[in-house]
Amino acid sequence: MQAWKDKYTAYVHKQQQASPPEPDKSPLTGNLQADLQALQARLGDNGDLVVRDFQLFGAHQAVMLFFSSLVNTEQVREHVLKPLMAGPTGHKEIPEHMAGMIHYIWSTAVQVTQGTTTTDISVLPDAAVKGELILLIEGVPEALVLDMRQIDMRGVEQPQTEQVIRGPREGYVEKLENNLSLLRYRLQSTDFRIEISPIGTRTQSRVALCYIESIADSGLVAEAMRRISMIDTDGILDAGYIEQFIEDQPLSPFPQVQCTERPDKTVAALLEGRVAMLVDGSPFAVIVPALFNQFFQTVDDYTERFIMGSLIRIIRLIALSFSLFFPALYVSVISFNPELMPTEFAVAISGGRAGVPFPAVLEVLIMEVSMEVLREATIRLPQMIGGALSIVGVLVIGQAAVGAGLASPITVVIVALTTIGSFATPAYNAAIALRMLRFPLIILAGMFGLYGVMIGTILILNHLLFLESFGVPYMSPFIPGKWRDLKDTLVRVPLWWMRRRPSFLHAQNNDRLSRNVPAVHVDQILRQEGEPSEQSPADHNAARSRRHQ
Amino acid sequence: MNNLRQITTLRAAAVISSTIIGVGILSFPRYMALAGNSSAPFIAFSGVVLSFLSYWLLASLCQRFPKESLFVFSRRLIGRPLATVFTAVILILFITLTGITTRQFGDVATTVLYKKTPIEATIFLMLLVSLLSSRRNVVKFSYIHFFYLPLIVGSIVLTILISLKSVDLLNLQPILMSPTLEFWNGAREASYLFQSSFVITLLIPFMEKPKHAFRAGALAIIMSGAIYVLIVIASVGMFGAEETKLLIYPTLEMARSAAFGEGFLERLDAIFIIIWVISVYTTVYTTYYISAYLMQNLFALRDQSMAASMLLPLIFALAMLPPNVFEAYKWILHLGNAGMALMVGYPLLLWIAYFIRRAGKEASS
Amino acid sequence: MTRRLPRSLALILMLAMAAPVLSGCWDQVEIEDRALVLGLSIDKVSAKEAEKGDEVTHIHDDHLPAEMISVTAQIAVPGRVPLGPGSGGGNPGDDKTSPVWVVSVRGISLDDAMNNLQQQIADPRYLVHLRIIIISEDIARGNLEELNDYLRRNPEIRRRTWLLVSEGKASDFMDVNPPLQRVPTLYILSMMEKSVSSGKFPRDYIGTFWSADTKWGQSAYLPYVALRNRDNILIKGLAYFSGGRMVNKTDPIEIGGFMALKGIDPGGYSTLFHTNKMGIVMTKINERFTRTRSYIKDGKPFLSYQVFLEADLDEHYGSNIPVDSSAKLQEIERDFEEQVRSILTGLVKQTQKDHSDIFGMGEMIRSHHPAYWKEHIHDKDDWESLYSSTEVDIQMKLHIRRVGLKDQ
Repeated sequence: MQAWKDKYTAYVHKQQQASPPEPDKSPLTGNLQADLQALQARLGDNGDLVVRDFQLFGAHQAVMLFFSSLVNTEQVREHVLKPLMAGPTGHKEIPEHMAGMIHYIWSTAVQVTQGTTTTDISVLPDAAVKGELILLIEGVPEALVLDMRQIDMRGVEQPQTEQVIRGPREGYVEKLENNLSLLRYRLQSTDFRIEISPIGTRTQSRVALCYIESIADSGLVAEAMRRISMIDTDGILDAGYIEQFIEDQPLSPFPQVQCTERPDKTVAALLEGRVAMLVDGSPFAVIVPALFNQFFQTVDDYTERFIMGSLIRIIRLIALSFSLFFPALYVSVISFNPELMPTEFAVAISGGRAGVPFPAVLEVLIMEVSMEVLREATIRLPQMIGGALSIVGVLVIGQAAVGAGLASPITVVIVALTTIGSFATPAYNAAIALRMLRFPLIILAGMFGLYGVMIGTILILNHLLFLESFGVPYMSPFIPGKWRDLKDTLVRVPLWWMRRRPSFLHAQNNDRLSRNVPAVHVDQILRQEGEPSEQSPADHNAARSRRHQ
Repeated sequence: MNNLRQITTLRAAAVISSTIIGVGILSFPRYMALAGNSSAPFIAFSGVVLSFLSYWLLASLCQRFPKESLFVFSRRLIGRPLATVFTAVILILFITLTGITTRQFGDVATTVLYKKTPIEATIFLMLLVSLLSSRRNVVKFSYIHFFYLPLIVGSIVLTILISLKSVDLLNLQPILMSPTLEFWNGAREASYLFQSSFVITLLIPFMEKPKHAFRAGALAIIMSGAIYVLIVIASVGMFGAEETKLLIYPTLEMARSAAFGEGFLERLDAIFIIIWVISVYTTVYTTYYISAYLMQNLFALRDQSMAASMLLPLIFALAMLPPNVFEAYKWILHLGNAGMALMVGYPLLLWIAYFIRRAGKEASS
Repeated sequence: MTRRLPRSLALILMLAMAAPVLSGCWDQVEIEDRALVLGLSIDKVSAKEAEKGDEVTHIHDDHLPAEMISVTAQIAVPGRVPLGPGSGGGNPGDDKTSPVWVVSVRGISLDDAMNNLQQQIADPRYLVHLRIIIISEDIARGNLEELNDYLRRNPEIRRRTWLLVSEGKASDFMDVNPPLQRVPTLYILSMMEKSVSSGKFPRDYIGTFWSADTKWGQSAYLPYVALRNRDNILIKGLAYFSGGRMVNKTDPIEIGGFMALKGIDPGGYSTLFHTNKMGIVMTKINERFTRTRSYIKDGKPFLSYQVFLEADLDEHYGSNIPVDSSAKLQEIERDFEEQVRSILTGLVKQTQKDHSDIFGMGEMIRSHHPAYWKEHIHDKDDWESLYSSTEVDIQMKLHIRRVGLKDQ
């Protein structure tokens, strides 16, 4: 395995050279070295590609080629490699001519249920990424393709931190091979690249960098590689370590990478042109660049129909602003601008606060801090106790605080809303940023009222506007503002309307849907089917299946 | 990705209009009503047209030098010493403008919202925020304006729409008036508000299409002009001209009279002031940014953040200088006059120099 | 990354240095520590009692006016109004649980009185929730200049505060104890707001009053209220002003007439009248629409009003003739038009006599005939004197749409 520095220089070097045009269809030559090189050129550099050369029946040069992440290596050894490597003594009827070799191997040697032969080299890469094993023999212009696909799914469980209502239930596990096979299983494309190299002078943790070659911006990939190659540490124990080494602004409260446990989310990000990083031993993938969008977007938005998805997004955004602004606004209205409340309510609130000894700022701060303490305690506890404690905490302590005159009932309502609001933010690392930022806002509100809140908000917004993640403005696509990209922000338009990839990622290939597929709704296609149309049914199917990508 | 020309025409327009909509919005209808009673909207409109003309003078000149800002090519046109003098004058103008703008802001905040908070604290906080964001490059600068503009425009338009229902059309008639001295004075005063469109000289070297500089400014002036005219229509239509003259901040009073539903949000004025904080911030940010940029250019400072930091005490002191509200308003009028002279005179001078040089070049070749 | 750290540290250091400058909480006053004044009433103090000033804002000075006013404020008492709907609440009428504290002070001006008030109560008073100001008729007939100046200058006052003129002593209104609302002022407030939405009274906040007062071609008016049975409040008419002083008041039904002439929707007044043939009939006006035209005739302003009303037949008795055809409805309409027209003309005549143009006819002349206006009017007084000689023509058209559930 190369070190990341070499990979980086190799990648940049490769990008500078114009890649040769790929031949469309070419037959196998029978020259093992030439065929192998042609095949590897098409598959690109991949960390999980296994190329195993061996002596077929002790006599002929042969090469076996497969993706370790899609194939059970144990079975390959038992049912393919073992019989093939057996010496000539075990096989008495080995044909004299190489022409009959493939047929002989298929009928007598390998113990595999499905397989084909082909003479066309162009179908081989696709076969490989589907989880098939390719066998090439010196002197034979034909390849044996054996179906050995077995996705390693041992121990795959539902992701804990990102649960969805509708959508895949698989999450990453600690083993890198498992995680890569989860990715390969969803993204069966020859363009999908996985680069693996160890980082950490002592732990030698393997780090995998995944991207889709024909989509991801080469500048972005190179930048990611450069940053990874700069990492100099003795141990990488989790993807979080990588995050802290490669982020743009370590001092910012906002996460500049996206963390996910979900392979489907990773694949979606890759398809948009992002880059993902996985670490052996960590059930998290790190996706860059990450934007402000991650604060209120989940997988459910895409699996559910678009109107519902959009509405729920807006609700999440409201929850998000709750968790940030509510306590600060409450403090400034109570202590500075009571004229904003309806008169009756103002009179009633002043009654509710009548016995409370602290000013509103202090009261809210105390309640918010104790809420955070409570939340932190519940995370560390076993799940059963945790649930019980949170109920005790919220109900009993809140009630008691009001009863003892420590807090007014409205404050308890506000604090509860804030906490619930922060739970509605999908990404944990993003939610925590907002939760912590509300404390300075409360203090500013206590000092300057609404003006303070406003100044704080301007500072936060400015920071967000100045922030960049891997060269992409953090507030994209609101800034720099392209109408096209706003389709997937506050609302999510139908999938068939999102014809382009987000432009701020500078993807090489911008079209999500192929250009000649009309953007019409499915029922329009169905209606057309009854009528005589120029399109053949196969085209319809193709159009529909593309839409379901 | 690292292309410097990143500012689109729309974003340039956003910078200009969010700069224009600023501190003046609160008292603008009073000046217009003083000048023309019920014809106030007409005067405001004429002011927009006037500022349009002066902007055209400036922008069409700058468009001829798409790669440089005004301060660079002016050296070539009229020679380094004279250009430096003019740049210094503009610098002083913008420093004072920043100071007085924050002072006006502080006056309003202290009068209406926070009576006991010292005006120094309010002003200092505002300047500090501007300072912190003045250290960034022009592209980020344009991001900020582009992001805040919808917030500013949206909330102002909402306030106007809410108050439009209590507009009495009788208050706005007669619409036209004869062009008397008062009329021209009013229009001139109205055009002062649009002087910050000067910021385009800073943006042109970074624009995607520098040839569209005039278009961007036109868009911006039309949009902010429309907002100003609407505000005048709403407040004069709501209160009548005589009442508008009595109010020190008619727009604020308009926001106060408009309630949003019964008992839901009782008073819009605090909300309005909050949004107004943003619009003042964008204005102060621009003038502060221009000052820092000019200062860096003039004294060949290492970086802009240093210039910005050095400006803070100076601007703060300037903001504290006027002894009372009336004095502050007088200052802003004087500044407007000076700015008007400069914004029209300087480009004219440069134009003349440009034509002479071009004629000389043609003659020699 | 490591290079950036020291500079950021310097920034944080600078912010930390700025913090003491910024720390303050100057304006922070908790809501329960504010004395929220909900209502004010202002009365004139007779010259005899005026001697006993508190002298909080001034030492005895002969140049200040000798007349004094008495201000009664209703202050919300925190804790007496329970949070949430209907949680106990105590029985109204029990003075110990009264949610408001009524304080009475005297002063030369309103500001002076407010300062005296502050001297008497612990918490700082705030007028941000002042919703109702009631002035007695004496005050309204006197000079309102001082009052207006203070209220206009003070940023705490809303333009949507109601200013009412009371019959008799204004302070009595601060003591009413209505069973419907815990806070008396809020009762008066909701009464005024509801009378606006049901078409009983035009939307006439203090801001509207000020606007009308400053316009040259219009005179201001205010609601005129009276107490009945100690606890009930009656909207008794319009108190209208001329030259900044109240000159007269109308009857309640004339409010309806005024709103009809101004075309203010929705209609809310019912009219009981005797028809020639059909006995006694009552109609309820639902919608009003008015078309106004202004002319200059023979060098004099002339205004014509065409009032269109839509109504329901509410009551019909005292006659055996059933109302069962449109011809009969038309007959009722004709009688109505005749009688109401006389009410309207009477109202206009009365205001003309008092030089108070509450209809804003002058504004109409100003906006439609600017040349005439410029020539003749140089002052608000000019119009108010010209108003009394203005000719006004009123046309009236009633349309009865429905007659209710009863046939005949």
